[in-house]
Amino acid sequence: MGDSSDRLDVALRGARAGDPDGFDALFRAHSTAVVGYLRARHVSDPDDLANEVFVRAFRNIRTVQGDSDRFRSWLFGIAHNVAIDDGRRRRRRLNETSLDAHVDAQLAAAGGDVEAEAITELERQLIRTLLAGLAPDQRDVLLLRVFSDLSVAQTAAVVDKSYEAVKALQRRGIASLRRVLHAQEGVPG
Amino acid sequence: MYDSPECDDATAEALLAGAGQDVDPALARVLDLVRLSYAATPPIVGAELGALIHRVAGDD
Repeated sequence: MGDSSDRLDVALRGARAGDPDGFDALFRAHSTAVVGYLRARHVSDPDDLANEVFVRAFRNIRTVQGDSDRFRSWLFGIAHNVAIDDGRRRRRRLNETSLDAHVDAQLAAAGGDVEAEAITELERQLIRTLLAGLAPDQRDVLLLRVFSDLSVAQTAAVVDKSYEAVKALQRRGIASLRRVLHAQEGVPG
Repeated sequence: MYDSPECDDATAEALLAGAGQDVDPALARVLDLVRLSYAATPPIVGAELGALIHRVAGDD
């Protein structure tokens, strides 16, 4: 972790100086997590919006202070805002039926490599059901924690809520997932 | 092991950190699947981002 953090601090300094290798290293380090977060948020075009996140970040990289840890938090803040903006646009366009179809297409598209192909259709359906059962702010917090490796405090800054509010959303979100999951599996609770 | 749908901070932290197999194996497995299914591949690099990082668009 220390080596990785040091390497990313060097990359961040390079990127601030306009070095393409610095940008490339930051992209390699964070791109799968950022696009994973956007895919899980079921945005309209995850690849395109991930590009938008990194372009915005790299064009404004001199405005973010601090180390690579701070950069990651800032980057996911951009991703969070991009997902919110996309959701607003899509709510104006989509009804619930087409949203379900879109979610299925997203999960199917995610099955494009060997690891993802190991995920069965039943598991895809289960993931969709579980995420759909979360309140929006619970889903936002859980997905940020799952994909971004941000702390509770960093997540609180991204979603503009207090530390305690984020912890409460985590507890309620996990409890909600457990209820649905164990109800499907027939576990009493 | 799982015995209630309620959740404390330690359980939530363990599950979200990918270390929840001991507290709730079924949910830990689902969260692993979420990571695997959505973050399996990097995004395709478009022209504007590719120019910034000096890559050919679409090249990983």
